[in-house]
Formats: sequence, structure tokens, C-alpha cells
Amino acid sequence: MSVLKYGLTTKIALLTLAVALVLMAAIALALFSFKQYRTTLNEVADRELQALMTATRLVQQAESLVNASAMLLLAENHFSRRQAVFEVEDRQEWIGRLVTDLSTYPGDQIDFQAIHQTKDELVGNLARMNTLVEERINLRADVYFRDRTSQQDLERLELIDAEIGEMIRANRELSQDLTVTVGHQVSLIRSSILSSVETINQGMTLRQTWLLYSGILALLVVFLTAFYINRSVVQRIINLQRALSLDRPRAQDVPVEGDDEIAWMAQSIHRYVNKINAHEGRIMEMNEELSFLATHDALTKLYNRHYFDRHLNQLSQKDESESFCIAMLDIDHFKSINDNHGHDAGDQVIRMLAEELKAALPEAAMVARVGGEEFAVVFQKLSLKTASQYLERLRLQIEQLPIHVAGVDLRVTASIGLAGYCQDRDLIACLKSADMALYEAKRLGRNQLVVHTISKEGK
Amino acid sequence: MRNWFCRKRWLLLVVLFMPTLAVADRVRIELHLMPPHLDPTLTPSATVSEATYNNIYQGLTRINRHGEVKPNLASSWEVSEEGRVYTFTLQPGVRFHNGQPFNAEVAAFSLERLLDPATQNPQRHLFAHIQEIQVVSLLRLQIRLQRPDNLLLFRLGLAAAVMVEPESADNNSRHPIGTGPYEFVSWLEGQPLELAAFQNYWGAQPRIQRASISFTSNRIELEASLSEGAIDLYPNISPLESVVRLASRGDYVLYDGLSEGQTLLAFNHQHPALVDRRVRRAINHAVDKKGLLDIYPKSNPPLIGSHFSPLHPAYLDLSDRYPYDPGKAKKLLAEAGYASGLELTFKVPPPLYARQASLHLSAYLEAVGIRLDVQRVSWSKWLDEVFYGKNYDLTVVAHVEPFDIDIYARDDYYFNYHNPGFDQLWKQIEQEQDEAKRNHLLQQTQLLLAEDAAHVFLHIKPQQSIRKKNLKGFWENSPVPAVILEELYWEN
Repeated sequence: MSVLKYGLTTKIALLTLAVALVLMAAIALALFSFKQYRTTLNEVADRELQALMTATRLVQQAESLVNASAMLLLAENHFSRRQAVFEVEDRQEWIGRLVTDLSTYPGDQIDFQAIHQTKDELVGNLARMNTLVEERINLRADVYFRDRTSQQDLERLELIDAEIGEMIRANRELSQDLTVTVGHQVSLIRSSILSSVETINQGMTLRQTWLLYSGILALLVVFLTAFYINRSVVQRIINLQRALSLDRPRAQDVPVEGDDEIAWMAQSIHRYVNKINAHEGRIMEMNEELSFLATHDALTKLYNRHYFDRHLNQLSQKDESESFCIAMLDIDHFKSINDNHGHDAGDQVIRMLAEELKAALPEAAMVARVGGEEFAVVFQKLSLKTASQYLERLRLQIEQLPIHVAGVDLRVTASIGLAGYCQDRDLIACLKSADMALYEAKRLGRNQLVVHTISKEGK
Repeated sequence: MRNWFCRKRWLLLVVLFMPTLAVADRVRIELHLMPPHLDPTLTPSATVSEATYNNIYQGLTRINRHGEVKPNLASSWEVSEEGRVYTFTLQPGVRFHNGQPFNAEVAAFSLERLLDPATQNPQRHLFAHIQEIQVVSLLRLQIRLQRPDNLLLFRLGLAAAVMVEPESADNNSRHPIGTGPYEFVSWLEGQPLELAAFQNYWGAQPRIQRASISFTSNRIELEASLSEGAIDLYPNISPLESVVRLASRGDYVLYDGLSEGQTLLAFNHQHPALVDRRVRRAINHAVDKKGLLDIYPKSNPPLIGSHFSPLHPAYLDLSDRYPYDPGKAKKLLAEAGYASGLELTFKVPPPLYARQASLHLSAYLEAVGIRLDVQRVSWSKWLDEVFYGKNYDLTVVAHVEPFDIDIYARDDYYFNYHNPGFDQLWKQIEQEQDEAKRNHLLQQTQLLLAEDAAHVFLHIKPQQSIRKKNLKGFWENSPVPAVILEELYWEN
């Protein structure tokens, strides 16, 4: 229920969340890719490049050792011999460290045992060379500074030179061995670097595709959200507004489908429109009632004197001239009914008579109660003769009408005066003429119809 | 909900980019001697002090770049009128790298440890006149002396007198724990010593967060590393042949600094020939001290004639006492009975200056008929065989500890030098409070050592440093052996 209660909010929140999640995923993917890229790059830079540098230095130092042995060979005194030896020792020490460094490189590895062995041989040769050169320097000093040159010394010198030559050749070969072996390691590291780069490139291409897809997905979700909001919010609000902007909004025009905030609002509006329309109906009804009461007699529901006068007035103001007849009717001896049987009985008699009037006269005739027991009838588009026939029949019906009021049966009669062919210009005269006819009927003994004719020309 | 994501995303960014920030904030330092371990209270080897002093460990006082005594773990002190009682007020809120607090109890422990003969502190003799160490309160410490000593505050600022934490002190040689701005990270075989800024340091955080200190004096390796730019600072480049080429390159700058290091061709006075003053004088005449300076291609350090710094007011210039004269040297040798020559073992420690100097010194000595067995030894081997074992005839080494002429009064020192006259003089110096009289006595000691030809006093070791152009804050002179990382920074 709570989900339903927050329908639209929840849906929009969920859609926003979906957009945010897709974006987040895309960003996370991008960041993760960067991180991985950097890690690999750092690894290549730190470890593999370092190893490559180490191997390259090693090759360089292996070659330099041969140069150092040349320096040793050329040493003419102990100073330059020691200098050469110091350099050899420095290079040898560093080569040892470089080999150790290189052997800790975790990738594919060559046989370091071989490197160590070659290096040791090389160093051993150099040590031997140092001894030989030292001896040569001392022997030469003897040869140069002594008075007599010993044959033995000269022979020894020759032997030493031969051995040194041998050593130099051996060292060149050993150094080449070392260079080739370490060169192999260089190529291993190089291919490891290349494969690292290849792997990261493949990974990056894959990530790029993913990133593109997640971008498209994010865009799609954004469009869907926009479409959804347009359909489920904007369009419905426009429909509502349209329904409400009609002159007379009708409840059935207010769209109330769905079960969300807008639907609830539409339902509220629907209820209000209904309520407003109901109130309006009531007011109309009351207006009708009021206007009925203003023109009708409360007792008989016939037109009252006021309406009768207005009606006659309207007739008189009509453009097109028309003739009509007016009848006046009065209940005979009505005062005695009131006196003998009470006002309620009197009222009942009047009501019954009014019913009789309505029933007996044609619908086009206008019937009004114009006094206590006095009624007036206006006939339009009806000949005087027909009007008098209607009235005569009415008089007879009244005469025979059984009236039962206040526990007694009564009989009443009515006197009727009819004035015919009145013209709208002399209404007063016509009324007077009808009154005169009624008066005449009364005088002639009551319960009869007297007709006065007025000339069509008005005289 | 949104907010939560925003925060999370930010966090993610921070986490991912953190390593990049860290890399830029690093310095790589190369020192020329591999320390035997990392506890400066257990070895005279200055390289331990260079790596750790005021980086890992701190003392009650500190010696600044001008050689002045400044407060350190003691924020202030009072000295009693007669100069025998020092009361220190300690810095509050100081913690060791292992989280333990520093206070007067700890300070007292450190000083007691220094004075205990069993712990073998190389500078213990400098503090032998401490009579009593008393904890006054949590942050107040009192030192009572047998006699006044105006050098006490200076000595308390030396690397041998740093404060250590009782729990971890025995392990400091492998895993050093101090109160300094940098804490120990790792020191693996064949790898640099790695330090990182200590986050709970009581003082201002250093600007450089990580430091790698590696150790080599292999000329070939150094030249390669420098030319590849793999070293940010090398404080001892002076005797390197390629220094001239490096100096003109643009990314490095050189600075000619001076150390307090007297470079000596040191004699083992126990050797039957070297115990004879004529032989020692002969060797002195055999050495061309001026010519030897050729080993420093870009600097011209002062020559000396005794074991004393030219920066000290009591310095006496005796550098010409034994002029270069091979003829005279031969004559003196002949007088001493070594006309047909003499055979000596010359043990050469690894620093470049020693390596280069040994070549020339050997040539000088051989020129007067002394045959040499030149042996290059590693630093730990030199410490074992020469310094502790006293098993050598000749060695060449720079004594970088400031004002250490008292070593000639020490019976156990590796020189095996014994001269009652010197001992007498030193006793007087220790008790003399008057500056002028003291200086006069100091001059007499210098003269005595020169006359005695105790060693060949060669020159003050130049402290030519090379560093990356934008690395600032380095101590160009070294009043004490130290590389103060805290003061280094990279200028953009």
C-alpha cells in the first residue's frame, strides 16, 4: 500500500536511480580501467623496465670488463695496475649485484648459474692477470735498473706475455658468452613487456566497448525516463487542464484512470466537479420553485393574479394583433361554505374546483385564480362559441361534482361570465365586459354562463 | 540517496588517485657506506648517524646546520651556577614510532643505557663525568656532573646520545624506533632503507613523505646511477672523476661544503716499525699532501697537520710540519734500520676518497721503498678488522666526528697510540674552564700529535655534495654527520 501511496515519486526515484546506477557503473568502469592501466604501466615502468635496464647494464659491464683487462695489460707501474684492478673490482662487484637483482625478476628466466660461472671465470682470469702484470712490472724494473740482465728474467717475461695474451683472448670469449647469455634475458624481458602492453591493450579495447555500451544504455534510460514522465505526468496534466477549461466541465470528462498522485488529484477534481454540478442543480431547482411561487397560487397551483395581469400585459404588447376571450368564474355562495364548514373545507372546495378547471379546459387556455373564490380564463386562438361550449360543460361538471369535506357531502355551483373577441388594445374594457357578464349571471340566478360579445372591430 | 552516491563516488576517486600523489613526494638519497645496522648508540660508524640522526632518532638537544646547539626533545634547560647541575624541561606530547610516550623516565633510561659499559656505546667516554641522573617530574630531568662541562649540551645533541624507548631499544639495530619525523619502513637485503613520514610526529610534518636511502661507494655504479638521474642527493661526491661532467649537465648542482672530517693515513702504533717515530716521520715526508688533493677534481680542501678542525678557534696550522721530501724519508727509514725496505699491510675502506687516496699513497710509499699489501675491504670488514680488531698496519679514513681529539687519550682506541704526555694534557683540558687557557692547551695537543707524527694528517675531507637542482634544504656543511630529511623539500 505504501508503494501505491507514493506511486509516481517511487517510480521517478527508481528511474533516477537507474540512470544514476548506469552512470555510476560507467564511471566505475572507466576508473577501474584507468587504475588497471596505471598498475600495468607502473609495473612495466618499475619492474620490467628496471629489469631491462639492469640487464642492459650487465651487458655493458661485461664488455667493459674486457676494456679493464686491456687497461691492466697496459699498466707500466703499480699505480696504473692498481687503478685498473680497482676498476675491475668495482665492475665485478657491481656485476655481482646486477646479476642478483636480475635473478629476482619474476618473469621467464635464463640460467643464472651459467652467468655466475662465466663471471667467476672472468674474474679469476683477471686476478691471474693482475699477478702476472705485477710480476712483469717488477721483472721489467729489474731488467731496466740492474746492471746485468739475467737470461732467466727475459725468458720469464716472454712466458708472462704469452700467458697474458692467452688470458685476453679467453676473456674476450667469456665476455661474449656473458653478453649473449644476458642478451637472451634482455629479449625475454622485452617480450614480457610487449605481452604486458598487448594484454592491457586488449583489456582496454574491451573496456572501451563496455564503456560505449554503458553510455548508450545510460542515454536509453534517460530517454525512457523522459518519455515516461511526458506520458505519465505531462500528458495527463494537459488532459486534466483541457477537461477543466470547458465552459461547463463535466465530471465524466475528467480522466481518472491509474493509481498514482495525478490519478488521485484527478479523482479529487472529479469529486469537486460533481459536487459543484450538484450544487448548481439544487440552485436551479430552487430558482424554478421561487419563480413558480411568484407566478402561481399556492393553494391551487393555478396562475395567480400577478401572473394573470402580466400575461394580459404581454398580450397587449404583442406586435401582431390577435383577438381572444376572457372568462371570469365565481363560486356561488362560497361564504356560507366557509361559515358552515370552516376555512379548510373552503380551501378544499377551491382546490377541487381548480382541478376541475384544469381538467375541463383545453391546455392552451390560461387559468388563474384572481381572487378568493374567483377564477379567470384567457382563451387564445379559440372561437367564442367553442369557448362557451367548454365553459358550459365545465359549469355542468361542477354542478354534478360530488364534494366530500369535513364529514359532509356538498354540492357547489359556479357562475361564469365570458367576454368574446377582445382586442389587445382594450383589455380593460374586455375584463370589465367579462365581469359584467359574471355579474349578470349572478343576477339571473347563479349557476349559469353569460356571454358578452364585443365587435371584431372593437365597437 | 543521491548524496550518498556522490560521497561514495568522491571516495572512489580519492582511493584511486592516492598512489599518484604519493610518488611525487619522495626523495632518493645515496650514502657511501653501508651501515652495519641502524643503532647509532652502538657503533662509531658515521653512516648510521647520517641515515638516522634526527630522521628516526632525536636527542635532548640538536646540533643545527651551523653547528649550534638547539632544543630538541628538551624544550629548555637551566644550568646551576657552578655549572654542575643541568635541569631539562622536556617537550610534552612526544611519542615514539611504536606509540609509547616519551618522558623523563624514558630519557633517564636512555642516558643510563648510554653510560652502561655493557651496551658498548662508542661515545660513552664523552659522558663519563655524569654523576647522577634524576627524574624530577614527568617532564623534568636533572643531570648532575662530577665537574662542570660546557660541552655537555653539544654532546647530548650527538647521534650516540639519542633517546630510545625501553621496550624496543634492544631491537633498534634491525628495526629502529625513535621520536623523529620519519619512521622505519623496511630495509631488505640489497634494497634501499625505506623511511616514511611519521604521522604522529610531535613537530611540524616534513614536506617530503617518503625517503629511500641506498648505500654504495662503487664508483662505476654511482656514475651510472647519477648519469641516469636515479639519485636525488649524494652528499659525498668529491672524489668522483665524472663530477666535472655531471656538474655541467644542468639537472644537478654541486656544492662545496666542509666537514669536520680529518682525513688520516692512520698508523697502527703497535706495529714494530710504526712504533718508531722515525719511521712515522719518514712516511710523513714521503707523502705529497698537496699532490694528493688531485683526487678531488672540483674542490680544494684545506691541508692539516694535526687532528684538529681549521674551523675551531684553537686551530694551529701545522700542515707544513713534514714537507714532501722522499729523499729525507729514505734517509729516516735507513736510520731506523729499514734501508732494505719495509713491508706493510694497507687496508682500504670502501669510500671513494679512501679508494682514490690509497692509489696515490701506495705510490708515494712504494717510491721510498715500502712494499705494500693493499687490501680493499668492505665497511663492515673494516669495522671488524681495523676498528675493533686493530688488525692492520696502515689505513686511510676520515674522522668526521666533531672535536674528537680526545681519541688519542683513549687506551682502547684502534690507533694503539699511547702517550702519557697527551693523556696529561687532555685531563687538564677537561678541567680547564677558561676559554683562552683551554685553547692554549688544545694548541699544545695539536703540536704534540704533529711532533709525534702520530699519523699522516692529510686534509679535511671535502663535503662536496651533488643534488637535483630543485631539491632544497640540504645541509651543505656537516658540523655533525647527518642528512636531515626533515629540512629537505622539492621546489617547483
